[in-house]
Amino acid sequence: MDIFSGLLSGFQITLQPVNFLYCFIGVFIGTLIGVLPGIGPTGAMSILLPTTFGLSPVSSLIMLAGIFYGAQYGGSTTSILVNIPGEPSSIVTCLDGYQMARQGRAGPALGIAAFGSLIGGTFSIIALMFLAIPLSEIAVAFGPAEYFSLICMSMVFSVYLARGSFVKAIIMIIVGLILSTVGMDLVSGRPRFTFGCGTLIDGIGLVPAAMGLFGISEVLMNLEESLDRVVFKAKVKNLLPNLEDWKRSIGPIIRGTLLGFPLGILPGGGAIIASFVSYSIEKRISKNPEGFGHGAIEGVAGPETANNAGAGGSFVPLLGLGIPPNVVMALLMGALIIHGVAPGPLMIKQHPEIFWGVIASMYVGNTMLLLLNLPLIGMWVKLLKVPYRILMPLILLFCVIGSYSLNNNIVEVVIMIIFGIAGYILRKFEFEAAPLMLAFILGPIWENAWRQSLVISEGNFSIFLEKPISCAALVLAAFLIITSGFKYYRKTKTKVIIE
Amino acid sequence: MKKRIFKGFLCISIFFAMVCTSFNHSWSAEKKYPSRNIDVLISFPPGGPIDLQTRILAKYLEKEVGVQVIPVNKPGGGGSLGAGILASSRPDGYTLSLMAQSSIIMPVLLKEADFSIEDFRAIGQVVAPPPVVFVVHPDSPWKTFQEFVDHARKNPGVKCGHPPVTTTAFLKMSYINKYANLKLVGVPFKTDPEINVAIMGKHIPIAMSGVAALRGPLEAGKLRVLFSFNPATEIGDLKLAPNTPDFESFFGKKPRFDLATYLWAHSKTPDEIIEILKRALEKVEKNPEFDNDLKKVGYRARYVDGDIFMKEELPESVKFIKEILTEIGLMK
Repeated sequence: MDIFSGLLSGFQITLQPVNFLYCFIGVFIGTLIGVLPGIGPTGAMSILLPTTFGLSPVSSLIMLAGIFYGAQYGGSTTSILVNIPGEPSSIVTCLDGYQMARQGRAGPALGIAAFGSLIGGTFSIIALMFLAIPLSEIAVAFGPAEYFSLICMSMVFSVYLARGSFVKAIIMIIVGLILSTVGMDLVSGRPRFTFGCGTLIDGIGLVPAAMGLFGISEVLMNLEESLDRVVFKAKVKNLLPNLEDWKRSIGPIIRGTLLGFPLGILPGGGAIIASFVSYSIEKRISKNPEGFGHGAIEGVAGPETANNAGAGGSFVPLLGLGIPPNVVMALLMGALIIHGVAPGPLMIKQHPEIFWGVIASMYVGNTMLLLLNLPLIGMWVKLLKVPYRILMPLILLFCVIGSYSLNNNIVEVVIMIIFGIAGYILRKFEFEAAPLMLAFILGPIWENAWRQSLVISEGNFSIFLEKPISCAALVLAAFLIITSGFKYYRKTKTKVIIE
Repeated sequence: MKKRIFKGFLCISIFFAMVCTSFNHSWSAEKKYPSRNIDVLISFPPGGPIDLQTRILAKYLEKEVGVQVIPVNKPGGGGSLGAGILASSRPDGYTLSLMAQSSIIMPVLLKEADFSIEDFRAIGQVVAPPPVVFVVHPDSPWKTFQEFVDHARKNPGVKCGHPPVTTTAFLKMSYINKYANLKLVGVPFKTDPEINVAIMGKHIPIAMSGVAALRGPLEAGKLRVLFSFNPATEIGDLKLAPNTPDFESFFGKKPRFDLATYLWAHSKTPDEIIEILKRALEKVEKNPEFDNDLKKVGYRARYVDGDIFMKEELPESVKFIKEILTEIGLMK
């Protein structure tokens, strides 16, 4: 079917009042879910799934998809305002977004996040439209060996997440990797480091850990300050990013889109990794890397764009191949199957109205989200005027409710508190949480990919160099290490000479 | 002064809200069952096969029992987290779980469970045993299962992908591996979609996978099924190639080995409640729309009484799983 006629028919479907309404409901709920720490799009979608049984497949998918990318928009709000990641893909936004808020620039931060998300989201839809089938072929080219090498590369990048000491970042990465081993091992089926605790059998939860390390530790840090000190400058003007901001952000936004979309396609990859890698790249190529971590707008523009582009990208394997690359897509696939539609290459031929209807709804949804989020910026900024002694307990309350709401499990609240205290201690000693988080997320994928590869190659390490994609990724990682090492060596040498 | 009143009011209302939310069980003890919503635990993440089965079951069970049946995801530990929650729940019939037998038996045998098999009572089976199949890439040199079997026996160590060790699919693969002497080496994957990707990308030559995730790629010709563990009557809408053999047609009569999924309750649940649920399940299974919905996901409806199963089949299942676990070295 010709793309334009397909898209046109898609818009006809989406703009029907019924579907338009469901699109709005989906993105609205998604934004709420994203803003509220704790429950994520998966939870919301599974709760709402039964309500879709009575709807047509198109309507259900439009609504559920809306929840998903809506959550990517909303997640950045709390990251910027109170350093609590509403969504795992917004963890990186905390690093610079929150600092911008502390400098009285919450408005521009929220604004650039919204615009970046729109651009990233829209671009990924366009790419999805044209490239769904050929790109999904690329997705299957990634097997265990390729994943291993790709993550090697990501781990090298992750060092750039830290604004301070290089060595401390590496320590945090190692700690993150160790923490990621908690849980049931894939190969042997035995639990590791669970100490008999049922909740840990699937590993330490990402959401409680992130909320603790970033949000709770921030609250604890603020307890040290005197209660009357006004930390947030509450200037209500300057709500939107100015020209200077846009000039600095346009590069990261473009790079974020180009980076986020492919990473979202890879099964197991997705929006989270896209945001971390975007941040690292921006910092690496920036002329002013020391500004990162202290309110550099590039650190918000890049990752926010990347995570929305990644969200769009994760539809590619689902619609193109019928393979869901992450849990959210698996849910969408389940919803489609229950409605009698098998997602996959044939879906475009057999049910073009679903494919094009969903794509058109994404355009509509992304625009709706921008219109929803922009006016709210004024309201969010006013929220920061609330005195600390009321705001901090409220934040704590939301975090506790959020982590409990995940699985109705009080142990997760305890985990969050432990990570909060640990995060506070780490910050006092100037260790940073971001590299730990990334290592924690990537650890299981990395380890499993390593072991799967070695089983397939029967213990032969050359498999990582024999496969072309894997080899390329490893070479790139090595190159990065060498060039950074060079830079560092030169810097120390110059230091010595000066002294 | 005003501020103080406001603060006081706020404190009291918060306290009141906390108190109210802590009451949620004791009031309905005397009423007829069921008098409030029933939770059905799903030990796996949303979108997976058991999740889909449970949601479809919930949709039809609601009509029979007259109260809302709410699926609740409690993923973790390859299914053991949900089982543990059921074992420690109140035996009042308001918490149930649709579980594969492996979710209960394996953690107990591996001594990692804080529950025992006696903590559970099977109400009934409503879905025929989950179909698992051997899939290959369309370009694979093995055109029939016999070719594969011959090749595997001559070349020990063929890599075969499979879902986690705690799943029924893995147990069935181990069973065939041992029974047919295939000498396969298992490559573990976390989810069925990952397995499908690995096959489509030619990273592994063959894999055992559940059918729910298979439909899209299969219909588009991206994958080929070589062998189905279950007979065609137990697989839903999925159209397998005409000569795909199933276990019985290939290997002949074998020891009874189903590992079907059952709806479970706490073993101390009163008999009357179990009876009510059994009657409801029977009615659900007879509903043709239930079967139709299941077919779309690759399953079929089938009712087997839970008590009969527990007396006759369950000990066999335990014995069998023990054998497999010892064979692959997870148990001494």
